[in-house]
Amino acid sequence: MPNTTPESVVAARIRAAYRVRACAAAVCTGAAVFALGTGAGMAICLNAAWLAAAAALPACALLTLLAHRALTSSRPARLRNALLAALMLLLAVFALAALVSLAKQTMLPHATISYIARTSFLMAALCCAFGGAGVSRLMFALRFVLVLGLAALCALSLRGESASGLFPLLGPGAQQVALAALCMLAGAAPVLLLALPPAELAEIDEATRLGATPGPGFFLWRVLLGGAIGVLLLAALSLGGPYERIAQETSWGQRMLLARASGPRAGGTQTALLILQAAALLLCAAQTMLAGAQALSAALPRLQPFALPVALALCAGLLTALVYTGLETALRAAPLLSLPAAAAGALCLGRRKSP
Amino acid sequence: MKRALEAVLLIAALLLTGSGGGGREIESCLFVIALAVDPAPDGSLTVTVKALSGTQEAAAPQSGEDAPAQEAGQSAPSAGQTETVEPGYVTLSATADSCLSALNLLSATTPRSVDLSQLREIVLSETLARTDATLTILRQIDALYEANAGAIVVVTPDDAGDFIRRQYAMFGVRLSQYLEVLFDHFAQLGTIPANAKLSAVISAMESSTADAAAVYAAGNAFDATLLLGDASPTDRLPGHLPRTSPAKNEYLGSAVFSGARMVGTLTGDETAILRMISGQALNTSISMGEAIYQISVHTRTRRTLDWVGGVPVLGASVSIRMALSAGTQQQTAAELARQLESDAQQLLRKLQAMGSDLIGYGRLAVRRCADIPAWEASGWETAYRTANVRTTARVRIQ
Repeated sequence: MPNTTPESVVAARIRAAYRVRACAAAVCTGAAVFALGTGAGMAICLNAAWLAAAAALPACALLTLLAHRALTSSRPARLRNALLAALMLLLAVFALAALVSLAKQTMLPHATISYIARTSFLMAALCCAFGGAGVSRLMFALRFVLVLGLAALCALSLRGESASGLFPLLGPGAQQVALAALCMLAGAAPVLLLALPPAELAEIDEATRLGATPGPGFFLWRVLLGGAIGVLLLAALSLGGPYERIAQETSWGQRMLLARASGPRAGGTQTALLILQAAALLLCAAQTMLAGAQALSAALPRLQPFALPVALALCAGLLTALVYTGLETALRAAPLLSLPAAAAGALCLGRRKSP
Repeated sequence: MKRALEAVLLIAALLLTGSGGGGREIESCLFVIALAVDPAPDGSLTVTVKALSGTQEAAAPQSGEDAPAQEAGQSAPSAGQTETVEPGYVTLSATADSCLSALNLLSATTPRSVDLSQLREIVLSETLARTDATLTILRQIDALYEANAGAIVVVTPDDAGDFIRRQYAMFGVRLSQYLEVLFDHFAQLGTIPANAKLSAVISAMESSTADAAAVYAAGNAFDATLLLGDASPTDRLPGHLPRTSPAKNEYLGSAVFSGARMVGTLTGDETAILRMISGQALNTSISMGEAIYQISVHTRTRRTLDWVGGVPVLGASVSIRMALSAGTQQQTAAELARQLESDAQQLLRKLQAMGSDLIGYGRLAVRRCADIPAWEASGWETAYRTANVRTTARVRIQ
């Protein structure tokens, strides 16, 4: 007989909400690692970007542990939440910039950047308007499609390619790989959304929520899997062609084309791959935007009813500024996101509240 | 509040996304099917394109009998722009100091914008292909005009512009479809290289670990009766096949590149051997002696690179299963294996002499290097030319 006492039902609900949240964090991490790897990593260390991106995985693990600690901490955290709000909104803009760059290079080559940016932002904003639980549950529902789909489609589109694209393993050299690894640490930043309790658990009292919060391992393997998928996608990019080809590609969107050796925009495999990549980036933007709004309302409780519109307006403003200054600005600024992420992570260290 | 926000966003979506620019009417595009690039006397380039004319006849297939008659009325290109008309297609050319400028000139002087998304064939003059300009030209076509990455790169010793003027659809199909079928047919015969698509050629030219091959083709004037002699019909270069056919262009063999520069040619049979030891000959035919064999998909190929006393040894082993499809088998499986080993060795030696790594042994050599500076300092190009060759073949006839 299954245990159907009210307490167990609430505990199951809390666990389910955290499971969904962990999946959302995993998808966001994978998308951020991929976007940062193609944008900043490949520009520095060419075909060795996947190796540099692997450095983000220990950072993912560390931030997951810190975020879990914040979940179970009783310390007042207005500063941390303000920092998280800024970080999440910047990550949302970065994911949108990556989506715009990918769409411009593949699906909408003849459209203007500002048109693609407006469309992408509105899609993300519409996702947000239907609530944070909806976006997270969508990510949860798509978890196998995204992970297995991306892996299978990569394998299909790279069929016949030899592994030579991965060599020389260190790309331009160990120093460049180390520099790229430093830049790629920001890829772990989306993990910090785990420091915010899921919005759908707001009506459950804190003691009950804390009592049913799963251990760090529950989040850790999911987040690491998401990050590893991002790293594997970067490795697949290196397999698609020689390092000279990567060096020739100056556009962010061009570098995201996984199947370029077989001809971009050709065939169902590439189309499906693009759709999955775009979906992951869009969901990452929506989820981080929502997390930003949630952190904003936690940092400034009086702003609570307007937190989402304010977050959307800030993102729209930043994205517009990016469109006018060039999407490459996002790439130059993105590695610096590791600094607020590290600060927010440090602020997660606090006294644990016993359940 | 939430519903109001949703409503505002939906209305904003309608208002803001309605201003998408960049849309193009299909009638405003000049859909190019074949493109040719020739050197002009003053160091410029002449770009010739064969495109859908956009008239109602465009949809109608040409008959093989009508097309040559239309061609007879075509004039030779001159500096500037020339237009010749044939049912459904239009041939235009422009001369400028670069391929990009010539394409821009065509766009500027034609009432339609050049669109290379339907491109099926890029023909380069051999004179041009033997210079370093080839890669720049192909990159410009690929990147700036978003050309179809699956277009086949062809090199011809003739005038490339004349080559595409002679190219017309036969057998009641559109030119684009005709070219697709034609390249599929020769790929099936195994007499043209497997990776001659635009994206693959550019990728190989940019790579320091492999080299590119393009399709070699030439026109046949039919003014001389040639005899085959003892050689196999496909063991020769295009333009020298004794036959009568409405098609004046012959596609046979490979144009071999080292880096961005063409360095030699391979005959149809040499190309077939190349495909076989590269593992790209599955389901194709091969002519050996008096017989033609179909190569089974169960064939296994393996490339190896060993270092013996600091000297590389290029290895190629083939375990081939084939079935007799035409002619009479006069050799045993062991004799065929020995012949294959010898042919493969000759081919590798020929490629070494040209300095072209079509098989991609550089991809194996690069694994010994930790980083790019070490690879670039490894002197692989010199080592490749002086490497020893070892080939093994096992033949099983079904």
